Amino acid sequence: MRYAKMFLLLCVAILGAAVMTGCNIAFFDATQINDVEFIRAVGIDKAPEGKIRFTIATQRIVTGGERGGPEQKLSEIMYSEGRTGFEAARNFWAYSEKRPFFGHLEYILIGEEAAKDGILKYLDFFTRDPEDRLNLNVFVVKGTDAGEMVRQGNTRDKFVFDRLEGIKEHYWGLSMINRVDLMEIMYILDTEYLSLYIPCVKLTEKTENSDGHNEGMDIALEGFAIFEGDRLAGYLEREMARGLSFLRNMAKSGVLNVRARNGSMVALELISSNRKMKPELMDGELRVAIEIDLKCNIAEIQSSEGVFDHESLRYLEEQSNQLIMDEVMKVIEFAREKRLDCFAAGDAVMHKYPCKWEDYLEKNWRDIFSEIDFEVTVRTNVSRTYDIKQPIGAKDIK
Amino acid sequence: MLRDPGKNKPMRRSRFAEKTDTSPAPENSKASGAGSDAAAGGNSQTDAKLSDERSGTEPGLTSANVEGMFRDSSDIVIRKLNINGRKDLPVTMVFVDGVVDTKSVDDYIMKPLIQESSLGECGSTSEIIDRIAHGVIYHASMEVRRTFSECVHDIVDGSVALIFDDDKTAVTFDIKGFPERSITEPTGENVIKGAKDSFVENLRTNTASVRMKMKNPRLVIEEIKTGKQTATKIAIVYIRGLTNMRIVDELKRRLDNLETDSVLSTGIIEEAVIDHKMSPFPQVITTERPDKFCSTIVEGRVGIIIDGIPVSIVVPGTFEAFLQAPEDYSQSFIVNSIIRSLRYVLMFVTLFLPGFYISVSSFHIEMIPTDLALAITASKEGVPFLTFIEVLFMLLAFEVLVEAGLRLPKTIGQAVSVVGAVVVGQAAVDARLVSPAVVVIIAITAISSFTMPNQDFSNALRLWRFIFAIFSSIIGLYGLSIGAIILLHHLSSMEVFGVPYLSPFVGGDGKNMQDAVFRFPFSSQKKRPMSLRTTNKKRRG
Repeated sequence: MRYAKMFLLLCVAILGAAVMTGCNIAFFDATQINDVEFIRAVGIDKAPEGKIRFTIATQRIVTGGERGGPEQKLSEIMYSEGRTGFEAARNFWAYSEKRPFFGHLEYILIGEEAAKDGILKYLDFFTRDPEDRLNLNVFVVKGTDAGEMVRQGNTRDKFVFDRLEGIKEHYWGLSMINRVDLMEIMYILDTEYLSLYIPCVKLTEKTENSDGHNEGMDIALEGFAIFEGDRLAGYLEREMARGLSFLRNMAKSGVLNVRARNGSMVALELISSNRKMKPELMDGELRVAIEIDLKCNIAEIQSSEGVFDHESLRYLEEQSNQLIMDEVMKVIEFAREKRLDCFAAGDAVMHKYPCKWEDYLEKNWRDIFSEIDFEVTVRTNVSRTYDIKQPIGAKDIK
Repeated sequence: MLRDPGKNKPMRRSRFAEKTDTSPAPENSKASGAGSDAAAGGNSQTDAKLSDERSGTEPGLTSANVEGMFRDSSDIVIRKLNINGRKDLPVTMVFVDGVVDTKSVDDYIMKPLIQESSLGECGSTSEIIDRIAHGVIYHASMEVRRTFSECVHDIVDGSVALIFDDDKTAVTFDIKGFPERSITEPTGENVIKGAKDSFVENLRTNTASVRMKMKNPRLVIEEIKTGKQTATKIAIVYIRGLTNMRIVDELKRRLDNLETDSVLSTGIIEEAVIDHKMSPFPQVITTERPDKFCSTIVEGRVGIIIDGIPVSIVVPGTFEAFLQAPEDYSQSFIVNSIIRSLRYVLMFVTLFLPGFYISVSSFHIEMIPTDLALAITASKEGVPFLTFIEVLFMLLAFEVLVEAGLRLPKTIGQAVSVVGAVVVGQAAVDARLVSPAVVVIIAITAISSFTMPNQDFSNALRLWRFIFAIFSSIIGLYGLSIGAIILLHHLSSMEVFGVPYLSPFVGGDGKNMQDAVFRFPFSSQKKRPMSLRTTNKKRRG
């Protein structure tokens, strides 16, 4: 009887699995791992006649065969168009040797024109397709088509996804951008009072090969693309992008070039930063105090005069404060002007005044945001000076 | 009557023996059945005797009847002697050649019979029997037998019988002299720090080993006999006042109910005493180490030692016991906890890895890290088979190698293993029959399975590994999950002698986790496993 029950349980489980999953892949129909083409990056562009164009970069490793030669990494670029993203994706099947597989897609590049057109219709396919990962990285391509970037960035030795991988891994060294994945984009687009921000990259020529020729183009960090709804509203480049990182409390490291008392350049290395946003509603007026605390060390001194006395360090800290203040204020002005809350001031207000937020602040947030009095305080602490205290060539070496 | 030749004193009478003594009908007892059945195939006289036995009347204890019983056996020695040279005092000596120690027979039995003057003074054989019983022939293990079956049984058990036809009485002396294997190091359960002895084929040597390790007067070694043709002695070992007597009684009941011709392997006893015969998972602990055997007895379990088999059985066998190695208790508890927890991890690895690999490489490719996925793809380049086929092929190939290694002689077995693993494996990869990734997966699976301390448990995992691989090939991880649920259901519904198989993990017995996945210091293991419901619950304090 017990075994009969077990058998019954087994039958129900298998039958349930076969019926309820909705998948027609079972047993011999299952897609084998060697039957798929791994798509690593996709460029999304606006095509003529209202179509969507996907440019994909695939990756494959070919072994040296029986002779045991070195394995070779290969990448192919393929194009496809369709009236919808899904159609464009499926059209790859028409000529691809293997089934294009989006499960290992890591980078989505959105062309400038597509970004201006509104990214929602381009990204919906990627959020809905069960194959895709929701933590894939999204970039906006400044000044050109995403397809062009995929083409130009993909060379025989360097692949576009490797270049983007480098940016993803090392962005924190400049604090110009921070990672924005598909999940965060979905959240921000679902949250009406927030403004979408996506890191942007551009094509540039920076690397030469050993034979002195440029092969392909480099992909460089550029800053943030700011969106109004799902349409591109503008860019925050370099320093302004870093200002946004400070405001979003995402700045991890970076270079702060300031002048010492003698006028020589001193490079401070940002070690850590901490931003606090304190909204205050008084007499119907909303004020937001932003406090940014930085810790820095001295990375470079372009002078033979020492800067390690108390007054000099204090001076450097003041310079640093001013620098960050300027960067941050520019972002705030930009945001207020465009009425786009790209640094989530609304979240801070909502958490402090949840009832009032629900009553009226949320509905009129864009108008209210443009009127907010932001009071920014930056405090720098040059805390680490390391062992070499005296600059090279200093006269009073102890 | 069963004796202990080591100590030369009568042992506890078994329940079975008691039945024999009280019942005149030998067919009611397996021991006499064995003795009488052993005579089957003899001449018509013997057949007539057997029919007499079946009809309830036993043949008389005479030398002629005994001779008739063993008429066709070439190893039976029958000598007619005259005590002290007196022709009016005849005696027949019967024993099995090779089983008894002939020097002892000469020195301690024949010599006094021929030379002892006090025996020559006797007027009748009954007087001689009385004198022998009172020590004229000085051997401690002596019995006076008045029934044919008892006498015959003693003879086949290795005794020398002196049959006095006039009195229809025999005096038997237990003078076993069968050459036995000496105690050697265990072959399958080696430890670095720990005892180096193991069980041997002789039951008495094994019980002596246990006694030497447990000098506890409450240690009970009961003996019963089973097997119609072999009349194999089985010792049931437990500690009175500690062990749950319900387990002991139930074990005895199951052994009594065992109807079998022979007990020449542990499997017959194991199958007779387990609750779930359809489960591949072992429900008894088997060990060849007396120290491990004793530790389980002290824990509150009941041991079984079978004559002729150098492996003991302990009941009830629970899941966690199969993941404990003898070495566990010789190491630092910190080191051992890590190793033991690793063993649990490896159990899951050996069980699930092939299925998991099939699932992720056929159904959930997106789960694999991209670089690994690309490497797997590259390794599968040119392999025409589905991953599922590859994995099953390799799993089967591994089973074939294991089987071949076991069956072949040791030296050739090693060579075959090397050839199989290295040459054939590499050739299979080169020939694009399997991908290197699958070889690695199966190798990890196989090595993980070798870390299981119990071979029976490892075998069960091997079986379930195939089931999981098949489930995974049908519906991926969902299938694997279903398989895991079925296995969990199977394990959690099992009870062995009333003890939950998964204890201490189930059954509200979470208190005894000090010796499960991790081994806590001995000082914190204050109580015996609650699930065993021992009479004496405290280990210390």
